[in-house]
Formats: sequence, C-alpha cells, structure tokens
Amino acid sequence: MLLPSTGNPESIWHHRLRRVDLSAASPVIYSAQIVATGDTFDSWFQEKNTVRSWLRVPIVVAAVALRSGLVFVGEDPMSAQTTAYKAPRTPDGKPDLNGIWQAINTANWDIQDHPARQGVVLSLGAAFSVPGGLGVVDGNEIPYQPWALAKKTENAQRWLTADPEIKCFMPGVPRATYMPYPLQVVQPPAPADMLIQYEFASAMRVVHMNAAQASGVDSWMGWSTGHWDGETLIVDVTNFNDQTWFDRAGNFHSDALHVTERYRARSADVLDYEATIEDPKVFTRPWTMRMPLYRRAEKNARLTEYKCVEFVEELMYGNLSKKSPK
Amino acid sequence: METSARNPLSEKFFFVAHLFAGRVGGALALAALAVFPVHAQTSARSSARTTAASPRKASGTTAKGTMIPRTPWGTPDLNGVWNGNTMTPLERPDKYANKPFLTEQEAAALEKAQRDTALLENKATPGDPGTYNQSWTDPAFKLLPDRRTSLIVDPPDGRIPFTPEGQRVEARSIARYGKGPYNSYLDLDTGERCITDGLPIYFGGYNNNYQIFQTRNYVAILHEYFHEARIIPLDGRPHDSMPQWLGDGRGHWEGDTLVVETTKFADKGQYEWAAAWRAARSTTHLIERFTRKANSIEYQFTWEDPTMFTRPWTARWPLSRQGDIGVTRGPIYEYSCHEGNYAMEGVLSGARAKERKDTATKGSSR
Repeated sequence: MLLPSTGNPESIWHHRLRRVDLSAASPVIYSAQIVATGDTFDSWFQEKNTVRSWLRVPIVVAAVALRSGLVFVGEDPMSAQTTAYKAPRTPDGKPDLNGIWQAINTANWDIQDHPARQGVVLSLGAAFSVPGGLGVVDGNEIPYQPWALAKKTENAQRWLTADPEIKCFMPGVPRATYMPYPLQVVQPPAPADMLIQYEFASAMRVVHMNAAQASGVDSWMGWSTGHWDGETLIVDVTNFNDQTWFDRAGNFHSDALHVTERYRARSADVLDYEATIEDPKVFTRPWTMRMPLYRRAEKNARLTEYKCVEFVEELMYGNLSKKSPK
Repeated sequence: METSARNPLSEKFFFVAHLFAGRVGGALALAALAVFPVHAQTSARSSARTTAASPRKASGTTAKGTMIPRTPWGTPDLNGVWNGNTMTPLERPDKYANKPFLTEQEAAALEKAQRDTALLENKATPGDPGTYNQSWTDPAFKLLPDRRTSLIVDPPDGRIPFTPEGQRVEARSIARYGKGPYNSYLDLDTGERCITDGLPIYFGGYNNNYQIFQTRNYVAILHEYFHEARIIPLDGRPHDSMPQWLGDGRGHWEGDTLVVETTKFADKGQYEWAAAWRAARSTTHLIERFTRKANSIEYQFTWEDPTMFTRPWTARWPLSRQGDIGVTRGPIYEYSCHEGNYAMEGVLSGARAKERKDTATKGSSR
C-alpha cells in the first residue's frame, strides 16, 4: 500500500490523474498513471490544485487499487483506459495479442440478461436446456426499431429452423467471438495482415492492416480493417450480408451492419473486448457489447477441427435422399 | 501398370472439372475438356532437339547476391498472398513419358494455345446448358519456369506410384465422377459437400490463393478454398493424439526452409474424394517444405500412404505473387461454400426426379 510520506522523495510515487468525475456518487476515474518522480506527493497537489485535499486519500487509495488491478472502475473502461497494463510487444512495437482466447459467458444463448429455461428438444433434457446468464449489452437494452423488435420475437419462436448456427453457417461478427469455442489470433509484425481463426465451422477473418484494401462484396464474416490506437486494436467490420444472428435468441441485423471492435489486453491472460453495433435499418442508435476474453492456458492449447457441415447434411438434405424400397 | 484408362493429364482437368461441375454447371467441365486436349495436339514429340532447359537445382539456392526477405527474428518471411497455379499437370502425361522437360518452343506453343482458347464458349443446346469462358475461373497460363512436364519429381517417371488398391480406388473415382449414383449427400465428394479438399497444397479452377501468416511460434496457411486455415506450431511441441481431416501439423526450420510434418490424419477413405489420391487415411503422412526465394516460395510436398502408394512420392513447384504468374491480384475473399450449396440440392433433387420419371416410364409401358 503506497501512501505519501515525508521520507526520501525518490521513494514516493507521484499520482497523476487525467480526469476525475467528481459529480459521480463514487469517483469514476478515467485514467491513472503511476509515475515515479522526484517530486513529493504533497507538492504536486499544491502546484496543480486539481483536486481538493479532502479527496486526496480516497483518490490515492483508488489509484493504487487500479494500478494493482484489484478494482475495475467505471462503466466505460475500454475507451477510458482504466488499467495501466501494457502487453508485451511484438517486434514491430505493437501489443502482442497472439494466442488462443475464449469468452466464458452465455452470450451465444442470449446477449441480454436471461434466466434459465427449458430447451426445445425435450429428449436432451438438462443437457441442452438454456442456462441463465447476465447479458453483455451495455444497459441491457437493444434499441430495436418497432418493426425489428417484432422480427426478433418471431426469430426467437422459429429458432430451431431459423438460426443459421444450427446449419453450420458462418456465425458472423461479433457472434463468432463469443460462441463457446476458442479462437486464435495470429498476429505477424507489420505490414502483414492478422488472422483470427474461429473453431466453429473453420470460420475465419483476415484483419487487413492496410486500409487501402477494400471489398465491394457482401460476406458472412464481413470485411475487417484494423489499426492500433495505443494499447487497443480497433477493427472496423463492414460488408456484411443480412444472414447471421447475434445469438440463439433471435437478435439480428441487416446488411447495413457496421461493427467496431476493440481488443485490449487487461493483463497477461485476459483481453477486454467490446463491439459497437451500428445498423440504421434495424436499430435506433448504436449500442455496445463488452466481455473479457480469457487465454486458453493449457500447455498445448490449440483449436480443434469443428467441420460441422457433415453433422447437418442429414438435417438439410436428408429429404432428398433416395428412399429405400419398402 | 495400366495406363490407357488413366490419363494423368485427364486427372488434372478432372480435378479442375469437378469444381466446375459441382459449383458452376456440369457443362463447364466440357469447356475444360475442350481446352486441355489442345495441349496434346500442339506439343510435338517429334522434335529432335535435346532439351535446352536446365533442371531446377535441387538445393534451391538463391542467386548470388539475392537477398530474401526475413522476419524480425531472422527466419525467411513467408507472409503474404501466394498463388501457385500452373498449366503443368501433377503427373507426366503419357505422351511425355520419356520427356522430362519441354523445349522453349514447345512450352511457348502450349502457353499460346492456352491463351487463345481462354474465351471459348459452348453455346447451349437442348439438354446442355453450354459453358462460359474462362473469365469466370482462374486458369493458369504459364507452365513451370523450368518446363518440367510434371509437378512430380520423384519417382523420376513423374507418375503417382499407386498400389493395385490405389489404382482401383483411383479408377473407381474417375469412372463415377459426374455420373453418380447420387442416392444421398454421401455420394458427392468432400469438396462438393463443402467440407474440404484436404491436403497438400494444390490448385484447381479457382480460389487458388493462399495467405500465409507467420509469427515466431506459428505459421498459419489460409487456403481461400473452403476458408481453411492450418495453424502450425513451430515451438517443438509433440504431435497430439487426435485424428483430424487436415491431420496434425508441426513445423520447424531447417536453415532457410520451413519443414512441416503432418500426421494423425483421420480415416476418411470411405468418403468420396474428387482426387482419390488426396483422401486422408490414418496411414497418411505428409512432409512439406517451403523455401523462400527472392520473389517466390519453392514448395515441395512428399505424400505417403502404404495403402494407396508403393512408396512416398514428391512434387515441387513455385508459389508466386499473383501478378508474377498472370493471376488477378487481390486479397483472399470469403469462400462461403456450404452457405450457398445449391449444387447439392440440385444434384440430389435431379437424381430423384430422374428416378420418378424412369419409374413412371416403366409403369406406362406395362
């Protein structure tokens, strides 16, 4: 626990606060940077006069807690850079996001809060009923236009025949991120593109790090263009078709979908991931999902093939098979 | 070894034609048929000139003073989009049985004929939808730079050394291709079912692009076809025990050559495969070598399976930047095969309709 003292100036940490929202019920601190300088803590406060002295101790405590990763403060951590963790660098000086990652949540069932409920296939009983889970949507609200909300409800009722996941179709973005399978980031040094490989259906994305390349065609997984903003990889995804869903609850989009993803290392084994959804044909405003992605830490972790096409052929084409003579 | 029914040249266009038949239209296969025999007609075996072509140096050394691009950690840089499509067939055609290399004139004539026929189309006739020209595909217009008459370099005769069982499987596959029977989805090949065409690297009518992503500990090889990426660890971990369609690959550097060894292929011999030799079996073993040159990658594979082949056999050819071999430049695009597999529905429902028609005809003739 670091506290200012009257001792050796070299041993004193100097807390520099970029922005403090003093209007919030509890202080929402947008960024904290621990800088060791020769200045004393007290003299910095006197010089800057940026905070009242009666807030000094709680801010110090909060800043120290943030620095040690004990507290996750604020409702907008990604863009606010509450953690000072910096990932190791690749040879071209960028945060190294290489690895095998996986979301641990029930977002693929329903991206909003959902209690447990019975599954639609009775013979699978508790093995395939719907688990409960907290949603991953900021504010837990998806701002559908009225017609689209009705469509979502209809999708949910027709889930067994309508969900593209069931047919082993490519899941789109961001659903591919939070399906219950790992993904692998292969990140060469600049100027090479990045590869994000998903285990489900061998779906994959090339993240083009050269924005000059653009696609004019629609696709299931979209066209991804990436760039770095400090510690954060920002991926702009466009050129979607309207065929994928966001989850098994019928949440959907149109071909006007535009997804902005942010990937940022929170620690050595956790990424903070967020995806902002814009689709003026379906929603009244942009909205955002966010979740951690956890590193698969097994010694020889790897993606396993899930070439599910042959698991769905009987379902999709069985009616076209030759009938055996009776 | 019987050869009359198994024309290696036909195998190449069968591989290409199956793609057309499955996904573009069966009659497009006829266009491929129309194109390839031209090669047989124009290449004159009667030329008495000994080949002036020098065989590719086995060691693959770069020219003196040529620098190859390297990664920050010193290994050759394989990153980027590559294409290795070539007019040269995998197996040496019968007519070149004693001719491992073409002369410059012979090669030039073949390449010219390929360019001249690229816009051939077959008009529709009753019962035959006709074919589009090759603007719709990604045909090769170049032979191998050293004018070798097969991609196979070992055995020296340039032919796949099938066992009797291997010949039987191959002959059966060629005989049933495009003809069926099509009783169910199981009767289409793994590519027509949009599952995979397996390993190793190979080229057909389209989607011949590969993008390689290279980090210190992994090499990922993304094939545009089937949006399939192999992510190969380079860190020396042992093979694991799970059999898979694309096996289990491990890579390491031998000097400036990336060597990838793949074992643990799943047993998929009971599936239909467009090119029977590519079927994965638990007995299959693959060694690939990637050697970066100044402007290309020399690619070599050695394929082994005692069930199908009397010995391991090896093919070698360059992967180039698209522009260097006349392929349209561009990034990898999405290959959503299964999501739009209308050919599957078409083939099966067509077979069922034919059965109903045949049954009705029999009934009415009693």
